[in-house]
Amino acid sequence: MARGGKHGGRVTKSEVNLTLAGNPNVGKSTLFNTLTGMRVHTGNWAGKTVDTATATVKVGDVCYHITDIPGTYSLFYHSEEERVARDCIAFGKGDITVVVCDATSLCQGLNLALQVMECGGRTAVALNLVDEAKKRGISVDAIALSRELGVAVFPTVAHKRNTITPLLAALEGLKPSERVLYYPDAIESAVDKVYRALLPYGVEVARRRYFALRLIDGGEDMREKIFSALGVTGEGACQIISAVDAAWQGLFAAGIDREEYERLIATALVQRADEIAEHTVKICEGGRDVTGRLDKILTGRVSAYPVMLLLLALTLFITLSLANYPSAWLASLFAWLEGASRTALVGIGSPDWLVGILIDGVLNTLGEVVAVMLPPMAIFFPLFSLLEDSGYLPRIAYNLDRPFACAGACGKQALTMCMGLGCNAVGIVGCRIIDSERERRLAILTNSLMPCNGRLPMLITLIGAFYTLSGVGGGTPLVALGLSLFIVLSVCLTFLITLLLSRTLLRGAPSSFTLELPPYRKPRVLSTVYRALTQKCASVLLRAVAVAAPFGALLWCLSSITVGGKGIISYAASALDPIGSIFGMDGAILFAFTLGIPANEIVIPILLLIYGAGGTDTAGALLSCGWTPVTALCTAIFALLHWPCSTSLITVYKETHSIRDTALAFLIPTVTGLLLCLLVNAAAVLFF
Amino acid sequence: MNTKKSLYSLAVGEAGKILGLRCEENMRRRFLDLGFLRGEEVRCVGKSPLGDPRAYLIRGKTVALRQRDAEGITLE
Repeated sequence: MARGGKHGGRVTKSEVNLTLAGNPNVGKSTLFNTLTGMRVHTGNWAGKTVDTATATVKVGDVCYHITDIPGTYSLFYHSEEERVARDCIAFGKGDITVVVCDATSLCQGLNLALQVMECGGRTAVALNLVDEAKKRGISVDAIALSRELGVAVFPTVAHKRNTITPLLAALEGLKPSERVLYYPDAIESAVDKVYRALLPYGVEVARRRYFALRLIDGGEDMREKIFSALGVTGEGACQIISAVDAAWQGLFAAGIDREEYERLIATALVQRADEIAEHTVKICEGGRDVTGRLDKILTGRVSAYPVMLLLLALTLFITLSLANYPSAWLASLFAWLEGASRTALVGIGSPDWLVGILIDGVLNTLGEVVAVMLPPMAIFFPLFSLLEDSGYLPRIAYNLDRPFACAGACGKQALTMCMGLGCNAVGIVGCRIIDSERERRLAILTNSLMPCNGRLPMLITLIGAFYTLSGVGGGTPLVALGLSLFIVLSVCLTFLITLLLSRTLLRGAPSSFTLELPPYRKPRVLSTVYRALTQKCASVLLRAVAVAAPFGALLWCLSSITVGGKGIISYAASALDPIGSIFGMDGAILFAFTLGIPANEIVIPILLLIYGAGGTDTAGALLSCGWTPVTALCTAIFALLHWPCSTSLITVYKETHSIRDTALAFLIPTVTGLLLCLLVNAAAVLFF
Repeated sequence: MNTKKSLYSLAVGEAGKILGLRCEENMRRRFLDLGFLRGEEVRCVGKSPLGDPRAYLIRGKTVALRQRDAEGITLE
């Protein structure tokens, strides 16, 4: 029973901090979304929360501040995610921790649950994916599980709110978890020595035991954390440290060194988890078969890479061919909106400059951005989420680990590149899934080489323009092929530059690599598509719109304020002309990319504005501005490879805390792009 | 010592029992968490297209390991 005193009865506080913990890929973020009413952007692509997300929910008169922490297997601190998780549970201000377990593979979840319970707070277990488990012939006895663990257990289906209601209702009455884990005698007596030394400090019984365990096996930083949590200083610290030394003396005498201590602790955890699972889980075999058979194709020696390329090309082809129609509708909708609001504004006698700013500036730019960007994004993001949901993504890392290892990096970089296809800022944050600091920086610095969703539409336009200008014609399959080639180019460059970096600035050998390959599961189409649209699309679109609207106004001002008969913008463009021509472009293009730093989506609208061209036919408009096939090709290369957008750069800085790395993230794609443009232009001048 | 059989020596489809871990600390803890414990049965269930990493079935989960890391796990 609870002996902690103040936690003996029902919680009367009206504010409660609740932490959601769990293994990766158990539907923790989905549960978080359902709990919080799907209002929160969970923040990233791989189905993994790499940062904590928070939201507040009111149940009755209790206000729950819910924190969704990174998915982890343990609290033993191998990676950034595990450090964040452990700090939140053992040292955070969390009152309650809900451990989300996967009913289809309970042991791994129970291992974490036992570790969380050991930290001493109030704990509940959400037994998630019970529907999936049933389908696979696995049944878990929640009542028996609750009895074995000594904490409340709630079967849930994360995306169904009604299955979560009992959990929410019971939160208020939760009691601190009881001790269900005992280590071998030698360890228990060592823990006891340190435990006694901690007695003078006010902390719950269970947490004191946890601190004692971690003082014995933890490093310097762990000790600092515990001391500051308990308010230990000076004399007290010395006493505790000598108690730890005494504990080690005893352990050594029993033939237990540090390595053996860790092994014994891990074994006790795993065996207890096994024991509990054995008492509570019934399995009818079968189910791994499908995964095994699929893996023969999807990770097979001959078929793996062709299937990967095919899936990429197919995704792009579906995106392009379906996006054309809504793009055209949106473009004509905005054209109508422009006409109508222009008439209305002029009708009420608005001055010319106001009409200019609102219609030709804000609305026009907004229309360009939304019409060009929204449809491909609304198709691409859900398609990608479906791949993610099916369990295929980790196989990409598995298939590509060898080449990445040869480049001195980690296969998980492939996953962050996939995330980068959606949004580079998201990909850069996602690099936290890479354990080694050096390999994480390699992935961060090269992430912007993958064209994000803001650049894909621009590439499509430019590739189309290239085909038109060179007289090849167009057609969706050809554009999809061109786009696939561009992506293959950026993948090759990523390998090359990663290799160069790991031979020069970020020297080092590839570190270790462990990657779990989850069984394939049938994607839940509707909820996945819904989630992708409402969260990922909405947030990227909102950011683009928030940037495009004020920028549209600014641009219109720049282009309409004239000095000597020409707009300011044209002076800037012509000043850049000589530089642009070296790289096969012109000053206007360079200037558009410079102004486009807040968001890549607005580069083409800016360009059209500088040229003074317009209309719904972008390629046609560019054609009339003196473009040649070389211009289109060089601009497309530069669209693929130039400075990352400001959001990405800020994210690089936040992730690395290094000005040097941020500068490198800026320079690497820029220099690469300029060099390639220079080569293409030189070749064109020489040979044509 | 170095004649001990390592996890890497398993061919696809073969299984073995774990004897111990010979690797640096962080990796050892990672392995322990994943369930690579003394006496556990582990089975090699597949190779990636280029032969490395390989996939191992341990305690109901499939985990991919590189050759270098798999060599740190010794088998009975």
